[in-house]
Amino acid sequence: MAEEPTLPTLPRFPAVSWNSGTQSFNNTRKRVRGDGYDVAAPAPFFSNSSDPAVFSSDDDPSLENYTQGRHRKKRYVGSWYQQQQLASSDSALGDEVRLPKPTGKRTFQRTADSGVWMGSDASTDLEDAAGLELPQPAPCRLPQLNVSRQPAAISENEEFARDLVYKALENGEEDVNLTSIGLEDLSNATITPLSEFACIPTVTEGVPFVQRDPSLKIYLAQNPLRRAPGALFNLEFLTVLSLRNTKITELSPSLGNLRNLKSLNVSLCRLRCLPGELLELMTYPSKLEDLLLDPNPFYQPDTDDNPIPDLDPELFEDSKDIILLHEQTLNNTAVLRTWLDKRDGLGDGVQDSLSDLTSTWRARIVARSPVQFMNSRGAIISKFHLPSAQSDLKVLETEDLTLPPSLPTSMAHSSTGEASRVPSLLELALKSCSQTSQLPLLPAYLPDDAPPHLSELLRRIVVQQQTNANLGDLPCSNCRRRTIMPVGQWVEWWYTARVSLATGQVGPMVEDSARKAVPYMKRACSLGCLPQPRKVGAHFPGTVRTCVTSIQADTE
Amino acid sequence: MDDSAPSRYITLVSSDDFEFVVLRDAAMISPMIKSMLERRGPAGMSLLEAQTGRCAFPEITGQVLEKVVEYFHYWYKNRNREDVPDMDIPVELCLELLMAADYLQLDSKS
Repeated sequence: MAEEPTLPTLPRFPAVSWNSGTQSFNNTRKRVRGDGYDVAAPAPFFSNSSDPAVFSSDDDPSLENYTQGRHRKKRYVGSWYQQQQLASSDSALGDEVRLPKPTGKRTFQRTADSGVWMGSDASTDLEDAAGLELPQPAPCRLPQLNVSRQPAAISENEEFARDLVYKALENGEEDVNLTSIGLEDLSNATITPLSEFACIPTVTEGVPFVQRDPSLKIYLAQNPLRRAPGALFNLEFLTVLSLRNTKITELSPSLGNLRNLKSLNVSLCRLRCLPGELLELMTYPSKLEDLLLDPNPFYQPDTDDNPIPDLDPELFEDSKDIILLHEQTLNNTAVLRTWLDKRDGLGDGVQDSLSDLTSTWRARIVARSPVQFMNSRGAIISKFHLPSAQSDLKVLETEDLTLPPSLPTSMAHSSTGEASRVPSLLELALKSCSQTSQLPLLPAYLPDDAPPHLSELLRRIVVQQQTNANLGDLPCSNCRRRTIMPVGQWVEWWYTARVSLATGQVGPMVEDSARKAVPYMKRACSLGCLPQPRKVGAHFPGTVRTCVTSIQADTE
Repeated sequence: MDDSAPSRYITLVSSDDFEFVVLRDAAMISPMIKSMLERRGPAGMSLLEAQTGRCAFPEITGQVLEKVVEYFHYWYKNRNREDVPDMDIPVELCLELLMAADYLQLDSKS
């Protein structure tokens, strides 16, 4: 600071000021000159035309630019982006022109500049070039967050995929074919535009114009894709989704949003288990027709002697809650019945849609793993751990289905005893955090003495938001409430099969010993939503039920 | 013991001296408050908080403590219900409440 040259004091500018006492103008500069010529005239700070221009405040006609009593305008030197200091200093006087600090030493030099530039080879005005260097803008005085956002880098392949998506969108093509284009990563931003997809209707003479819902088909097969973008599962009108032969290790629980999905192909992936929400897509009346799940490195239950359960774990009983779909006598000794139970929470519209379907899904449980308990800080507090994504563990231990899940010791003698459904305050606060649009910035707002696991927790929600392309909350498998940190997670193995409604016969996806039951990941939002004790072979609520009853038992 | 029948209510005091009188059973959901009220010293002596039923929280402002107290009663009212209504947490308080919930150990959903 000491070696900084002291600049000559700037003259008050403009030199003419209004004296309200005498009601006349004072020309201060003139008087200075008249008083004594020995006072060195201040070096003119505009030596030639390349100096920054001086502006008055005329373009901002606000009152404060005309300070009361004096008809003066603020003057600004240089362009607007150099004005930061002036603007923020808010000087009411406004009569002092602040010049940006000159960067180089300048010698006084009289240049008669006509304003007309005459190009000449000989003149290389180094002096001027130095003067032209713009001063750095003054640092902003307001507190700034030093978070620089990296623009997401997009691979060349994804760029190509994006082009294809836009082309499909533009032409109204429902088939989006992104097969084998070497995609390794697919961001939500590429897929999201498809949510505004609209069909271009074919208009022919004599045919009334009908607006119809699109039925999007997305083929992502044969790509080294590691993660299915969550935005896929927000496409309401997605009907066909093929992820065949990709490197996907898990599917988002948002899959349950795809109520219009007809065909899902996840064969040849690296899935360890499926989201439990897939089972909900099978509830009656299900639009899902094709489901290609094999082969995948699914978790296996440790009980090898996993017999396919008998068909009649729950006996058919005729009541007004039963919707009988099919009845057939087998060999005059038994009756095969197929029915739905209204008590599963099926809507009243079920009866109307009965005729449309020829076959539907049946799902029956065979095994369940222990529950992995977590507190809302995301720490696992139970003995049982679900394997991490990297682990090679394929066989999971199982628990008796007919008993309630075993609680970790820290919870077994909890103060309340009863399993309550009230979310914890930490969970509520996290949910509130997830609703701000500023979530990625929130860790920066935490005070310095905040425990580090809180910012860790917030980052975890950010990841959860990105993988699911929603607020980061996951649905509870039991009560559908959205939860940020599920209290429990477990795996259930289910047999699924198509049942023909015309014959009551089990369709092409036959339950046989060669075909293993498929694991589904489930989660609970509170201790009140933990898995209930169930019989082996119990049906998934809302799916079709079948049973064979012998005639003797039936008539009694 | 003189406190054979302790009061059903306890008092929580915030950093800016707001006092909240809360049902003892409701506040006991916090393991932190529970230990303040129940832990005994080596000679069987209870802490001052246990004797007076008054817990001071110099880290928590009145605005945040008010929400915490609201949560205590929200939990107490709904603890045995099947359909729990949502409690609204204002977004501007979410980080402070996150810190307070962590401090009061309101994280295990019992």
